[in-house]
Amino acid sequence: MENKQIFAQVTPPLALQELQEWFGRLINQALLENDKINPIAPSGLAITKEATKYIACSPTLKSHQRLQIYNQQYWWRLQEVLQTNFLLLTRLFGTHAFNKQIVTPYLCAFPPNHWSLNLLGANLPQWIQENYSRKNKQLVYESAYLDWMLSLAATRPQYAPLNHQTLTQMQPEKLIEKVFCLQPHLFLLRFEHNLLPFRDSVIKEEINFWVTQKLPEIAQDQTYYFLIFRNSKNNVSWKTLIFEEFLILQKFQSEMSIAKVCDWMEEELHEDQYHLIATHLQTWMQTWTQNGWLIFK
Amino acid sequence: MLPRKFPNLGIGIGLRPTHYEDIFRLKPAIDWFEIISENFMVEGGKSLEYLDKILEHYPVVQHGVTLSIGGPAPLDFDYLKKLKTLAARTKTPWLSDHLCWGHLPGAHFHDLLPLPYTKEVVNYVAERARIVQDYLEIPFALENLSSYVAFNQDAMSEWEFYAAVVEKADIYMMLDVNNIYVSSRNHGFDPREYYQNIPLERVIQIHLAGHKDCGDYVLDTHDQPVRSEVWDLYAEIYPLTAGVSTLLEWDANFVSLEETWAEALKAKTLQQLLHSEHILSPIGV
Repeated sequence: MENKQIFAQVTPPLALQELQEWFGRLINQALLENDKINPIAPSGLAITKEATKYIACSPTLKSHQRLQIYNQQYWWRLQEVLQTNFLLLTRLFGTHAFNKQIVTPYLCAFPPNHWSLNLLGANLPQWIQENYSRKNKQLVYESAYLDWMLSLAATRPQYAPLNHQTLTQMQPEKLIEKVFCLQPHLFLLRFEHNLLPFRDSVIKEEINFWVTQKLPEIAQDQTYYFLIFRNSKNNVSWKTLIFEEFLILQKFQSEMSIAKVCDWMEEELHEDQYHLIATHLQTWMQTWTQNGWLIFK
Repeated sequence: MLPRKFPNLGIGIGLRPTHYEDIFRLKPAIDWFEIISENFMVEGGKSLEYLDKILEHYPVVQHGVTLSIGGPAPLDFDYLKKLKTLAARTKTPWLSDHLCWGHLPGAHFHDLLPLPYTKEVVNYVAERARIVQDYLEIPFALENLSSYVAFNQDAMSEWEFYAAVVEKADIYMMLDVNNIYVSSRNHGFDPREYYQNIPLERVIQIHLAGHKDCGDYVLDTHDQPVRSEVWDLYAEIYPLTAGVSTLLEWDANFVSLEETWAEALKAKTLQQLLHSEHILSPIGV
């Protein structure tokens, strides 16, 4: 579109740009414990003095007090978004601890850089992996990752799925060479905790319920495999997978033909795994097709 | 260019997920809904499914919050393309965002931040607004803000700034009556001076909402009924427009659909009263 080129010639006034850069630095500076503006501006000057350079007083508020309104709104809004998008993670901490230990340091490291608030938490699992060091780190990381994947599954596209008729009418030798992949709203998850049933029971309660109550027991005696997806009613749902079903879905997620999957099985799997998959594969394929999970690349 | 005539959709409310179930169950006789565009600029899922269901029964108008028309970063044409795609889906008769900024290169503040009122900024914003309207190929309106700061470099009043931008860009006004009131309290101006000095013929939609009086300042919260002072202002402004669509925004501390709609209907009652008192011409109803 030509407009892009026309716009490229529009330059913001320098005074406006300077003011906005200053304003932006101020409002995304973390609030104090008592939710007040930091008395020291990022420049190192007292905020009471610095604010008067740009902002006029009102009859009732000083310049920095007026700026504080924006500083508070910025943080309170983003805290609320992360609390809404990370339902399990928030409940592991309670509102106060979540904001203090997770939201503030995370947003200082990864301030929002996209117009969509849905993407605000995109780097949170990674941030936890790199920066959170308490004893429950694995549970906290897995919870953040799960919440984020559920959030993604809710808005990913759904393409026209393969139907049973298409598959049965195709010549077998052609079918096994066709490359399959999964609907973009399907996510395969591997956790050290039996996290999905745990999440369902934890999020039934209000955020701060678990601050005073003991969290439900969570099994962590094995590796757990899950699939999250949108069901026929467009609701995000989940199911537990056995390891072998997880493996095959993983192959299709990375775009593979049945022929290639079979080659991989012969080369990589133990005999008992091979036989288990060989026994179930046809049924699995039927179920996955009925659920609309498979698409041709 | 003379402003074109826009349909008066009547009284609408903001479409919010908390009311979806009641809307589909009761199919209430609400004139129209306004959506926050960004909430539906996604690739799939429940929100788009619900939107399509709503579109089967109601007119929908799009209102955006992240365009950042006065920001220093170049206009985001990927964003605008998505906005235009959504507009084709909703068939929105016009599209609006705010006369503000909220985005620096590499940083989104997710807030409606105020601009300094200078001639240079008028020129800058008007140029960008004109480009946006041309690109979207839909009438485009900017909404006046609730604001809490005034800048030392301000060289004109808010209404002079607002009027200059929309006239220079040849775009339209989404007039938020509650925002006029909130800003008048925070900055100490007379709201009548505001509306008497803007080109009301460019108003294509009115917003109403509740606010919170925090003592030292007034906060635009959209979490309670419209205050009587704002209704009074609406009663003064509405007859001066060409009879435009009116929308109640309610975005926090939600009440039931029935209560929200009852609050919005006060605008219709007020319009009928104004009409019976011959303050409103029939064309404006």
